[in-house]
Amino acid sequence: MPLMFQYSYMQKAFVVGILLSLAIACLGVIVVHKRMSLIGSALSHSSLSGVAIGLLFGFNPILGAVGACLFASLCIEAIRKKLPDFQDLAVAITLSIGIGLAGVLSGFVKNASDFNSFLFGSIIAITPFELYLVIALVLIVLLVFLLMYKELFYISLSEEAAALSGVPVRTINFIFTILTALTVSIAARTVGALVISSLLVVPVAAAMQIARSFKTTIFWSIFFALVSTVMGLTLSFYIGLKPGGTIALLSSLCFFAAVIMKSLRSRFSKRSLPLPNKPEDLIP
Amino acid sequence: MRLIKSLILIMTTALILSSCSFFPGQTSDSGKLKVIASVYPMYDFARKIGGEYVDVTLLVPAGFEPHTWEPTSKDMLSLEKADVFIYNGAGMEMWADNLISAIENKKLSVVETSKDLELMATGAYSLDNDALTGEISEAHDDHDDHEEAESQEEDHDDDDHDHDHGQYDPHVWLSPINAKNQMNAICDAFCAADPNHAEAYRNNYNKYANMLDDLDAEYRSALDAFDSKYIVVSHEAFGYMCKEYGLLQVPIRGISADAEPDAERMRRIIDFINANHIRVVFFEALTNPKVSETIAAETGCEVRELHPIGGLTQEQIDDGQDYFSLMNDNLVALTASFSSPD
Repeated sequence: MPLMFQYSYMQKAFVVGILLSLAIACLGVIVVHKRMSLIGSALSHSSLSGVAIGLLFGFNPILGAVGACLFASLCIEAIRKKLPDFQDLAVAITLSIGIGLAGVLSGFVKNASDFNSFLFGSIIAITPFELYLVIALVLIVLLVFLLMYKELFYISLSEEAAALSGVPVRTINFIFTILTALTVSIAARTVGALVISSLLVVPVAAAMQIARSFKTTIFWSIFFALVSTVMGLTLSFYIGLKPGGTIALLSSLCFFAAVIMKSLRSRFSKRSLPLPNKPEDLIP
Repeated sequence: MRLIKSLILIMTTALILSSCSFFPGQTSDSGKLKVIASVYPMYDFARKIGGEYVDVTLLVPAGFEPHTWEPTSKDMLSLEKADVFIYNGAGMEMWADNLISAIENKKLSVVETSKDLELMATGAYSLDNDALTGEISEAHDDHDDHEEAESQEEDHDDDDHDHDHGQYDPHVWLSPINAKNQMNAICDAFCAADPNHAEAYRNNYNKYANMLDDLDAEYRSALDAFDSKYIVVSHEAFGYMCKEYGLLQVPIRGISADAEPDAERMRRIIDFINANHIRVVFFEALTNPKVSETIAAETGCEVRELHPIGGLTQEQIDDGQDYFSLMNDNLVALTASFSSPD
């Protein structure tokens, strides 16, 4: 057994990291195709205001974070409906509300560093409770994702077309939104906001450079997320880098590697077929 | 004309209003010395020396981490009306220099209590990554450690630090000897500002100086009995305590309490704990105990609180806790962590 796995905190880090990579990459593919790539940072920052409310009114700040995340994600959905042509605005507006609220409320929180400790989870300091929480969360996310795969696929390509073919767009969107909110709020607390907001988007961006279909995009996203997490943890263990930052950087490195691979492939392939980049191209 | 008239009107009302707001300040002045203390230890010492003759206000509110706090305009106003401003110095209050130069209050006497103390660089008496690799055994001589720590200290002076505290470790009060010195500085300032009650201040100082001597003696007699005196702490706040009583701190994450730990450092600390049969991992109030708990779970250690006394919560103050009670709690925690189970 490698030295790394002789320590239970590293075992937990790997289990949590691998599980979250699976779930986050699946969610990420939909999120990116729905043009909401900043939703990770918007929701994790909104969860701060929930922490502040929790600390102010004396209930569990983690509950506050989950509540704020749910509220913020519903807020995004509502604004998205009002501004269908500028859907990314919904995320930006919610981000401002979340950060603003957290900033104002944190002024009333008596213990500023208490506040900080709810912000930053660390992937190498996972409590047993958090481990079980993440296992349950990932099981739910993967199950729902498999059950609703067709509907989610359709919606992420075109909501109008999906609605016309009888997909219950509102319900599916609602369930997906709740799932994302739960994942972000729990992951932000356990592995940190940086890990969640980068893993949600960057591996998907990398996958889209290589993959030729929606399904392979998902597989490549999972692959890149797993590679970043596993390598990030390994590097952190052997050469003492900060795990969160390393994972975020490695996923970006994956993206650039994928871009280079793509350009090499198109240069050397004789039939230089344009690779599908937009969801529209992916419709069979 | 009209404009000038209304301007005059506005200015006179402003004058009247502002002079009004000065009156309550003066009438409530019941002959007590108005003292503003920056952080909790200064507040506690000032109240102990001043007794009934001073009104002490704590500038950094209870429960706030002193490093991240910033003064508001309201705080500036209260300083303009105060007689004495007491602060720790040594980089504890990064905002103090700006604050002092911005104040126009001429009668304010400013006391930097750590001015006459021998300051230590951040990271003194603590084991860094190199020191944690394998070679350290149980039989390691304390004396060597100190030399190592001191040479480390010199190295650190030249380094460019991006730490919270800058160059020096500001937690000077964790040595009772230093605390006595700080109380003395406060006492001198009170005597100068309010000579009428100088005798009372001197008496108070003598009383607490004796208590600090007792505390020091207790620490010495309790801690002298142990050979290996490593304390695993969450950040390097206990250098002065280490120096005084021959301890060595093993900080989990350097000087900044909020920084993300890395997996390698955690491994080294876990190995170190196992190799040296350390039984307690200390965490500090006002910081996240999760990392300490993870290390404790890994090594089968107990998690205990070691209080740096930089800031207390309102509940602790209401509970009647103070420097002495917390230092005693710390001593209990330390002896419990060193005494062998068999």
